[in-house]
Amino acid sequence: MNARKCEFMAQNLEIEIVPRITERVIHLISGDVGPFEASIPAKVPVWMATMLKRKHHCHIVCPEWMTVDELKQILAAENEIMPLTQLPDFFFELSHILVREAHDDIKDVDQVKSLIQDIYDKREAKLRTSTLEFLSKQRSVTHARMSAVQPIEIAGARTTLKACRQLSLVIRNHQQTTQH
Amino acid sequence: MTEFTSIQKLHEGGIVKICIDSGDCQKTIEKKFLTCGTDGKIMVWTEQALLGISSPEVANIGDSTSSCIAWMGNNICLGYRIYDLISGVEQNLVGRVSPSDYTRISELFSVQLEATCVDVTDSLVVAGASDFSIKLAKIGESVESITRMEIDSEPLSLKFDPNAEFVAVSSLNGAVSILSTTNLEHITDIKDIFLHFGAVDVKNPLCQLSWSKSGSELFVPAKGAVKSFKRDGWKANESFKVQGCENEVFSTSAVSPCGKYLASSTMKNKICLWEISSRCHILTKNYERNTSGTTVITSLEFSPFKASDLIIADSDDGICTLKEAVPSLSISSQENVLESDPEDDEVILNRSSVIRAPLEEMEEDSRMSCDLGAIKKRYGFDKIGTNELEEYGFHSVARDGFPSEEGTGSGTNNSKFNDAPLNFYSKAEFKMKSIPSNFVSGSSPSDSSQKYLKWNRFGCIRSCVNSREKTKSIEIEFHDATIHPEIVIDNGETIYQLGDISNCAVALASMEDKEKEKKMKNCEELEEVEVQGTSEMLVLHVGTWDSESRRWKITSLVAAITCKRNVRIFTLTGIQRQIVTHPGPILTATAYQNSIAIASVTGTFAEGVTQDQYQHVIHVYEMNSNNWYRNLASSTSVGGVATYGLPVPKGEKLEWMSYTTNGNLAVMNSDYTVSVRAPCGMWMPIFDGSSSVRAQSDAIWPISVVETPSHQIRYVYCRGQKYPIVSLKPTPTISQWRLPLCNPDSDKSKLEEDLLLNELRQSDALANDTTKLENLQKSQLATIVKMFALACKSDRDSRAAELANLVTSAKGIQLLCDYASKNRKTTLSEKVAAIGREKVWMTSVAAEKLTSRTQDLNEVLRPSRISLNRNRSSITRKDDLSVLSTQSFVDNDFSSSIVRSVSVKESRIVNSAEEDVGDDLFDDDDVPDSQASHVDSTLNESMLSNVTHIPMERVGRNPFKRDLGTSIESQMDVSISVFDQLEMVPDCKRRREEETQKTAPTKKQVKLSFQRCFSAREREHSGDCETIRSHSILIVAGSQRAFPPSTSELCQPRKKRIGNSGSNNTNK
Repeated sequence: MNARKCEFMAQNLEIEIVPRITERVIHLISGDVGPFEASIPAKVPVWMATMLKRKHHCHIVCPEWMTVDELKQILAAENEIMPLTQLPDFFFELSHILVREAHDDIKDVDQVKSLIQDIYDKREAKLRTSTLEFLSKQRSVTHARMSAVQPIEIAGARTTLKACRQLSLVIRNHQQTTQH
Repeated sequence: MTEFTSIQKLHEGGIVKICIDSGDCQKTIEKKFLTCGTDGKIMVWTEQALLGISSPEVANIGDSTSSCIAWMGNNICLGYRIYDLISGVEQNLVGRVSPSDYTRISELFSVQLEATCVDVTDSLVVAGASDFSIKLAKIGESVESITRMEIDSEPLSLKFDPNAEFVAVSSLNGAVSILSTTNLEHITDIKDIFLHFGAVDVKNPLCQLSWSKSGSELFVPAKGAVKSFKRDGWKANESFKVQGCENEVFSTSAVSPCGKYLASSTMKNKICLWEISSRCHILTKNYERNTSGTTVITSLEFSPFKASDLIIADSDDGICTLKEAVPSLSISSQENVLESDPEDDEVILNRSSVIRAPLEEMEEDSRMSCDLGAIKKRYGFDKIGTNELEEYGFHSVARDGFPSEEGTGSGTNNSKFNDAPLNFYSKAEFKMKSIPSNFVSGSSPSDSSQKYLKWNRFGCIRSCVNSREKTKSIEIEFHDATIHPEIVIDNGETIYQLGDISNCAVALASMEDKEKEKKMKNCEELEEVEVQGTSEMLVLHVGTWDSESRRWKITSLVAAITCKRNVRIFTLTGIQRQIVTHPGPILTATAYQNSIAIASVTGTFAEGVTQDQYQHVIHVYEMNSNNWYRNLASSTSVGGVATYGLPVPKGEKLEWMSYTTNGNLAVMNSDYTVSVRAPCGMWMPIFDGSSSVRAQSDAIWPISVVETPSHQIRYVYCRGQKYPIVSLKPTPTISQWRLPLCNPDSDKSKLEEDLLLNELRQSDALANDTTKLENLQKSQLATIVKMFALACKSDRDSRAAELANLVTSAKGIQLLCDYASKNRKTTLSEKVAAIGREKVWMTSVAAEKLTSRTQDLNEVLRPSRISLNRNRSSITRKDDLSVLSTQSFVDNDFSSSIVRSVSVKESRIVNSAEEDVGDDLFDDDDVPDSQASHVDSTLNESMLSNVTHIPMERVGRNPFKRDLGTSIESQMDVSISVFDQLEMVPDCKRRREEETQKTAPTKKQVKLSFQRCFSAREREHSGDCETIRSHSILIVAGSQRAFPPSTSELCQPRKKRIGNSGSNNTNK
C-alpha cells in the first residue's frame, strides 16, 4: 500500500457538497446518491465530489475538523500527549485531496495547510522515535502495537520498518557467522 | 434584569474604542457616541442604531485610524494615517473633527509613528504615539504651542484629570506616569502597577485609565484588581477587587457619569462593577461571544442614553449594551438591596420596605443629621430611582449621570449629597412614533463593505468592495449553474445597492446620488429603488430568446418600489406595465409570478411599556399584465389587491418575507419564528428558530421555504453574527417544518403534528394540483390509524372515537373498526361504525342535495330516475371538484369492498373462529330470507369475503338507498356501504340463500324495531352464524326503515325515495 492507494481508499468516504446543478438520483454501485437540488447540501463520495468540483458543478463543504480552530486544537492535543491522538478517518488523505481540489472552498486555506503539515510532522516525529526505540530494543521486544495510526503513516512506516528489520537480520546473521 | 442586548456589527475587528462625550451632555440635543477601530471609519451611534433599528452613520477618516479617539464638547480628536499612493509616504496624524460634521477633519499635529492614545479637553489635546512620545497641543493655536515629551515605554492609554491639571499615561512597562498639563512636566511615575508586556495588541490588556469624577482618584486596571491612587501624593488607595477574579487581568475601566460607579472588564470578558465610595462590588457579568478565536472586550463605557447601561465593544466586530448594569435600587453598601428586582411594578409598591433597612443603618451613623436625601430615598425618590420613573415617561431636568454645573465645578466636593432635586413638574415630551425602517428580505445591511444584496432560492447577489484596490464589483451566482454561469459586474460607477434574482432575470438598482442620499437618510422611505434622477436600474434578462435552449416567456415582472411609495411594474423586456401607489409605509416586498406582496404597518399601539407595537399587514397585488383592468373590485371580488394581517408577536418585528415554491406567503419575525399562510388563509407557525439558536449572538438567516419535494425551511445559521459572511459562502441548513405543539417529544404530539402537516399539504394540493391529493389522503389515514391505535392502547376510547370522525374514507373507518374489535373494544367499534354510517349518510345527503334539487320533480314523474341519477352523479364525480370530496367517501367505499373481496378471502377462514364471537348478533327471526333475495352477484362476491367484527345497529339509517336503486338497475355499478357488508356470509349459507333468491321477489326490509335489535344484542354470543348472514343481506338490500335524527329538509328527498321505491316494490 502506498500513498496513492491510501488516497484512493479515502475517496470512498462521504462528504457534503452544495451542488450547483439539479439532478435526479444517480445509481452507483456503492449506492444511490442524490437527488441533487441546486444550493441544497447533499452527501456524495469524495471521488464524485471532486469530479463535480472540477466541472464547477458543486462547492465542497469541508469537514468540521478542517477549520483553523479545530486544527489548532488537534495540534495542541498532539503536542500534549505522547502517544498518537485519534484523528478522523483518512485525515491526511482527505486534507490532501481537498486542499488540492477545492482550495477555494476552504476557509483560510494557507493556515489550514500549514497546520495540517505541522500535525503530520509532529506525528511523523513521534512515529520515528518510537520506531527507533522499537528497533533498538530488537532483542527484548518482538512486537509493537500501533494505535490511532493513519493509513498514510502505516504506508510510510512500513517500508522503513521492513527494511530495518531486514537489515538487522542481516547484521545479526553476519555477527553470528563471524562469531562462529 | 441585567442582560446583554443583541450584538450589532461594528468595524472590521481589532481594537475598537468607544468614545462618549466627556463634556456636558445636555448641550447636545440628540445623544450619540462614537466608535473607532483601525479601518479608517468613525461610526456614529444613536440609540436607534444601538438597538439595531437603524444603521449607524459612518464617516471615513484618512486611510486608516488607530483605535484612539476622544470627545469633549465640540472637540473630537483621533489618530489616523494617510498614505500617499504616488510618493509612498505614510503620515501619522492626530486630527480633530466637530460633532456637526464628522467627515471634515482638521489636522492638529503629526506624530512619528502610529498614535496609540489620545485625550482632549475644551482647549487641550494630548496624544501618545508608538515612538514613546507624548504630544500636547492647544486647540486653535499654532504649531509652536505643541509640547513634546518622551517616556520610557510605548503609551497605552492617557487621560486628562477632570480639572485638566494632570495627564496620566499608562505604558507598556507597567507604569503610570503623571504629567502636568502646563508643559508636560514630569511629576511622578507610579511603577509596577501592572505586568509589562510587548505590544499594544488585542491579546494584551489595554490598561485604560480613568479618573474619579472629582479627579481625586486615578483608577488603573491591573492584575486581580482595579488599583486606585490618590491625587494627593499619588499613594495607593484601597483597590477594587472581586472574589474569583484574583488571577484575571483587568483591561478597561470606566467611571459612570454620576461618578458613583466604576466598571471594568477583564481579559476573560468578565465585566465588574463597583461603587466607588464604598469599594463595594455590585456586579460581575460574563460577556460571551461565540466566535472563532479569542474575543476580548476592547472598550467599555457607560451608556449616554441611559445611565444604568454599559456599552461594550469587542475585538470581533461586536457592540452591545449591558442593560441595567447598575441596579436601580442599589444604594450605599447594602448588598441585600440588590436582590430586589428593579423591573417589577411591585418594587414601586414595596420600595419603602426595601429601602428601610439601609436607611436605618445610615441613621445610626448620623443620628442627628437631617439628611434630606435619605428621607427622599425612603419614599422612593432616590437619585438612581429616576431611571424607573423615566420608564414611565417622567423626565427629570437635571438627571443623574449628566452633571449639573456645581458638580463639575468643585472637584473635591463629594458627590454623595450632591443630588440634583428631581423635578416633577417638567414637561413629559411627546415622542413621535417612528415607523420601522424598510429592508430588503434576504439581504444583509448596507453598511458593511461586503454584503449580500439578495440570497434566495434562485441564487445570490454579492456586492464586494476591495478597499485596497478601490474596486467595487457585483457577483451574481445562480444556485443552478446550468441556468447561467456566474456574472461579475464592475460596480465602481453604478453603485448598485439593491438586487433581486430569479431564474428568468436579475435586477439591480442603485440609490440616488450620494449627496442626495445623505439628505434622505433621515426620512428614508426608499425600498428598492428610486427610479428618478441619478438612480438607475439594470435588468439582466437571463432567459432571453436569443439563447437557443430557452424559450422566451414573459411570465415575470420586475417591480420597483420608490421612495414615493410607488410600485412600478416593468415587464422583463422593459415595458412599463403598471404604476401603483401603495397606501402606507412600505417595509419590504416580495413577488411570485404575477403577485406582489408588500408588507407595511398600519398603526401602532402600546402593548408593552417600552416598545411600540405595530399592526403589520400584507397587501397582495395581482399584476396580471393582460387584463388587470378587467379585474374589477366589487362586493364579491377584491379586485387586484387583497389585504391580510401579518402575525408579528409582541416586541418583535418582521425580519423576512418571501413566497414559498407553491406561492404561499412565508414570513419570519425577529424571534426566528417562520409562519406560512396556508391556502385556507390561516397563518401557521412552521418553524421555531429560537430553539435552534444556540447562542445569543447567533442568528438565523432564512433563504427560502419550500413545499416541493418536501416541506423544508432553508436557512443559514450565522455563528456570532446576524448576517452570513460573504467571503466564504456558508452552507445552508435544511430543516423540516415543525409545528410548535405542546409536549413535542411525546408520540401523540408527533402524530398530531404529522396529521396537521398532512392536512396543510392537502390544503396546498387542493389549491394547486389535485393529483397529489390521493397519496396525501392515504398518508393521512395512516397517521389517523396510528393515532387511533395509540388512543386504544392508552384506553382513551372517546378520543379514539373522535379520531374516527377525522377519517374521510370508508376504508379508513373499516380499518379502525377492525382494530377496535381485535382489541376487544366492542363499544368503541360500535361507536366507530356508527360514526362511519353517519358520515356516509352525510356525504350522500350532501351529494343528494347537489343533484336532488333539480331532479326532485323528475324523480316523481319518471320511473327511470335512478339510472338517470346515477349517470348524473358519475358525471359530477369527474367534472365537479366540489363534489369530489363528498363523493370520495362513496367511491372509496366501493373500491375498498372489491379489494377486500380478493385479499381477505383466505384469511377469513382462518380467523373465522375468533371473529364469530363478535359477529353473531342478530336473530334469524328478525330477517326474513326473502329480504336477501335481490342481491347481485358482484355484491355477493364482495360480501362474501368481507371480514366483519362490527355488530350492526339496525336503527342506523342506510344511506345507500339511492344506490340500491342503481343496483337494481345495473348490478355492476352498485356502490354499497362497507358497513353493510361488514356482516359476513359464509359460503354454504350463501348458496342456500341464492337458491331461495330465485323464487323470492325483491323486498325492502321495513319492519325492524329497536326491541329486536336489543334482543339480538342480548344473544350476541349465541354463536349463531345465520343471524349475521341474513342481517347482512338485509342491510345491503337497503333497509329504509329508520332515519337518523335530522332536519326535515334533509329528510325530504329521502322520503320521496321511499315512496318511489315502495311503488316499485310489488310486495309492498
